[in-house]
Amino acid sequence: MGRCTYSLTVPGRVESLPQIMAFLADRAREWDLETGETYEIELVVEEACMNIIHHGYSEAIQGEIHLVCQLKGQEMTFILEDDAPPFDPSQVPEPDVEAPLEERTLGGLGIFFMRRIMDKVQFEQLKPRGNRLTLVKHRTFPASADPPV
Amino acid sequence: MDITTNSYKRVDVIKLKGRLDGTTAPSLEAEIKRLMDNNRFRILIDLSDATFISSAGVKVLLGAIKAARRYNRGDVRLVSASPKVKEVFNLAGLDKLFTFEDDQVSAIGNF
Repeated sequence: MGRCTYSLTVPGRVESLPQIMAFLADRAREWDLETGETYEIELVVEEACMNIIHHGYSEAIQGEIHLVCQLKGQEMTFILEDDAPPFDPSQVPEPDVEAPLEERTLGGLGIFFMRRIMDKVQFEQLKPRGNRLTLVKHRTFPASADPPV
Repeated sequence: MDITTNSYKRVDVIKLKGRLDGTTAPSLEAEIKRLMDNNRFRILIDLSDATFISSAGVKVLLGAIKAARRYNRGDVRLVSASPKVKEVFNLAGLDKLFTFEDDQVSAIGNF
């Protein structure tokens, strides 16, 4: 299988989400992803975008989201870059998914989903500004291909 | 996403059609707030036509169930969630906190 790289740049606003999801749906079709894989990819990229939009950008600081999707062999890579202030994931507490209802908090689920679903989640602070998030997942074999012996 | 609310004597049923994500979750949050502002705290969310839910949707439903159960005044229950939608609740550890029903008619009867 060849190397396939696609990129999309959109304003870092909630209104851009449908365009991002349509772009991912096109990749899912071209890469012959299973329904479950498609759902997972759409979920983690949405979570990443929402974090940029709500926690990176603001009324005062606006910018773009640059998304790169790459399939190399069986490895899918999604890179999201922004122009937002430095993001430190260690400052985001991991949600306690075993806590009783009254103790549940609403934050941190997005990064938690990314880490549970993807094989690699890497945050980097860019110079002179901005952030890069790299998400990697090894895909299962396409339905049309013979499974590995 | 389309949101349709049918009000019964004891229960309000909110039927979602499409994607419950960062774009659409605020609309569901507003609809739940409208019901609760009218002292309607028994809410059934029909997910039979909901194709996708992200943490933005999960957060709205988590906030709603906490508000509904406060003072034992009601509950928020889910009906006809697809396996992939339910998997998101499992990931968030919410599968044990929400009541999942299989069909709307019995869910209304059970409320």
